[in-house]
Amino acid sequence: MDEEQLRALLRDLDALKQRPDPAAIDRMRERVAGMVTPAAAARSKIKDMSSEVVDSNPYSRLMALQRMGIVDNYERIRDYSIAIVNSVEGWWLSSSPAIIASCRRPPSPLVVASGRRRNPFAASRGPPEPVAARRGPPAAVAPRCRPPAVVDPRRGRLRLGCRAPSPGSLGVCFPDPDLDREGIGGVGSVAAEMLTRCGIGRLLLYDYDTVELANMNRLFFRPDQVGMTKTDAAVQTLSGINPDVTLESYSLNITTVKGFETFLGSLKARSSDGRNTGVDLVLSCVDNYEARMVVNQACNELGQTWMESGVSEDAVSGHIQLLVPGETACFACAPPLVVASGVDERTLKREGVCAASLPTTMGVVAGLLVQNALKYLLKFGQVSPYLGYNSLKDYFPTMEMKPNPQCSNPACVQRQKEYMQSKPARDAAAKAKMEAEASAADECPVHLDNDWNISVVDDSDTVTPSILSTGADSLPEGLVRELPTADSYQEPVAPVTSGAIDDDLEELQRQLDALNSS
Amino acid sequence: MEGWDKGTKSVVGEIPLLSTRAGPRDGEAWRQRLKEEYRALIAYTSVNKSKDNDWFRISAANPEGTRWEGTCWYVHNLRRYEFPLQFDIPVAYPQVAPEIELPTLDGKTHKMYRGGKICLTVHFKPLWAKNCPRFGIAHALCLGLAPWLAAEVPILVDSGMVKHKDDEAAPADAAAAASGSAAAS
Repeated sequence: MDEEQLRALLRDLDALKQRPDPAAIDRMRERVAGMVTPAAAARSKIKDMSSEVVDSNPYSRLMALQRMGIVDNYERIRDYSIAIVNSVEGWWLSSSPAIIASCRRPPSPLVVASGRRRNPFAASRGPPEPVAARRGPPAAVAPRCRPPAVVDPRRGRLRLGCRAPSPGSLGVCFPDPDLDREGIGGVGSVAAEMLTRCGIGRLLLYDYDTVELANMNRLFFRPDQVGMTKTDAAVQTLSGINPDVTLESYSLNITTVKGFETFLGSLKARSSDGRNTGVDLVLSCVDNYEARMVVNQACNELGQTWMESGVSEDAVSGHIQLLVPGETACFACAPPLVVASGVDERTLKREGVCAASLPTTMGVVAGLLVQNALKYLLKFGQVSPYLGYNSLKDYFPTMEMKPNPQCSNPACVQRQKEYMQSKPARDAAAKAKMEAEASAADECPVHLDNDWNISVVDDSDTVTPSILSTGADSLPEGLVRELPTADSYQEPVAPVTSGAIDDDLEELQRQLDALNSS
Repeated sequence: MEGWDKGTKSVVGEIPLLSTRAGPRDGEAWRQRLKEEYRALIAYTSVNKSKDNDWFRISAANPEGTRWEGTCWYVHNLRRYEFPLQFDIPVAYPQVAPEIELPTLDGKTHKMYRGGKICLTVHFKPLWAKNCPRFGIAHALCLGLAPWLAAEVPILVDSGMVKHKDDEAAPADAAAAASGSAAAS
């Protein structure tokens, strides 16, 4: 039918060329508008969520959660705002087919026959250069690939301190950067779609990238959106899926100072309808350490609860993590964790492959993330503080992390202090709640006879110290650290050093300029 | 630092370490950090000059010192290859290392992220994490960018991805010469 209409349109256009006629132009405009918005247009907004079970109610299945007693009040989801940070710097390869080909080529210099991977920065790579030509930067020679590694004592395996694209990532010894930064891109958009379908009140989307054909292995984006910014493409798709959701998109780089201020401001800002201020939860779906540290910084400063997610660059493992500033470890409290792959690394073929990315793993991690977010917001079930996912063994490690009192992030330390100070109020609230529950329970005892003298012991206080002791260093099986920590704790340096540099900044600048120009 | 050559190690030893843990949003503390950055850069540039191993120019591109620009060069087979150099100081600095960019090489090597950010993942990021906040811009250049250039430039030149600036004009000259000879015949 489309082609037929277009042909008719073309005929009319030709006729118009011969003899201008304003009325005909108006008719044609109407017809084109009709073609742009198909008859089965997006549904109109729905004011109240109804639990009525009819074909036309998009929320009937969701509201059934309430009737089954899983969620107390599902409709509350419309009051919540979630920010999804999805900055995928990505690998530039997608722009150059020639390099995609070369990327598949096994770059043999990186792997020597012994099976040990070598540092490509070792001098042996490439033809030897004449000594006379050695005038450039010093060639740092690293005979073996030995970046400070993290050792998993139980397995005796080396986890290499690669760029932390995602703490769920596996260390890969050679620095093909296209191996990381690729992992997570899909999670944010899929999570956004899930939340949209759940009928979340407001979604803020952060990204600074455009859709490329290379993104088509991901869920969500369509080939006809190539060239749009990812946030615009997302808003287009999401508003079609559920017009009830308020969508705000920000296309910016949050790691720069300017982008960060905008990011911080938008997290605090009142929503456009003025109903609520700020956001209720931030979901970090970024793919690199730098961006995660930025989200961490922002959330620590605002005292904003957030959730972290990551998929490894080989697409077989991932994780989600809940971070409550002051209460749980922040992202800077300890080096990021990785989920050990659990298989012999030598069996994994790594040479010269591009970063892998499976829609399935991304879907699983996005599902875990949004599920945790829903549990947190709608207060049902148990919210996981950390949940890993190893798809090769279908292993899901969980753990809890206490904040590091010596955390390098001052905002985190400040939040920890506030959390400690609010302990009496929290205890009182918990006690009141317990008493209320107890009084409710007293009314009808569950068991009248208790032959075995079974009693319930309150363990809320006794558990804490043991978690504390395991907090920083020992990790559950299957989890290892990704980056090394600083050798020792650095006492915050008092401005003693100010005496050491008494020149002012302009003087130092002048000195450097003088060196530069000589 | 094991695995690094003696020359680099001794040069790194001569760069003064920094002590202030402050990022670009920390006001007066950032000014102090900036002073330390300058001191380290001045020391490193002087050391390079004294060893006849000068290989970069860098200066702050804005008064706040959050953006840096300059050039760096590498000599391969007696020819000098020069590249513009730039980076922003990230918000989470110094916890997070600066991401050094060589924009003219963007798309020419896969040891790079989008926008010409060189890959520092394996050879430098762990060192930076271990030495935070004592390492600064000078250390990032010495231990991050320098080895990257030493490893990548020879390959880029040999594979023809990067042409010397004298050679770039050559094809046009050759074409002109060819058309000239054709006209003569």
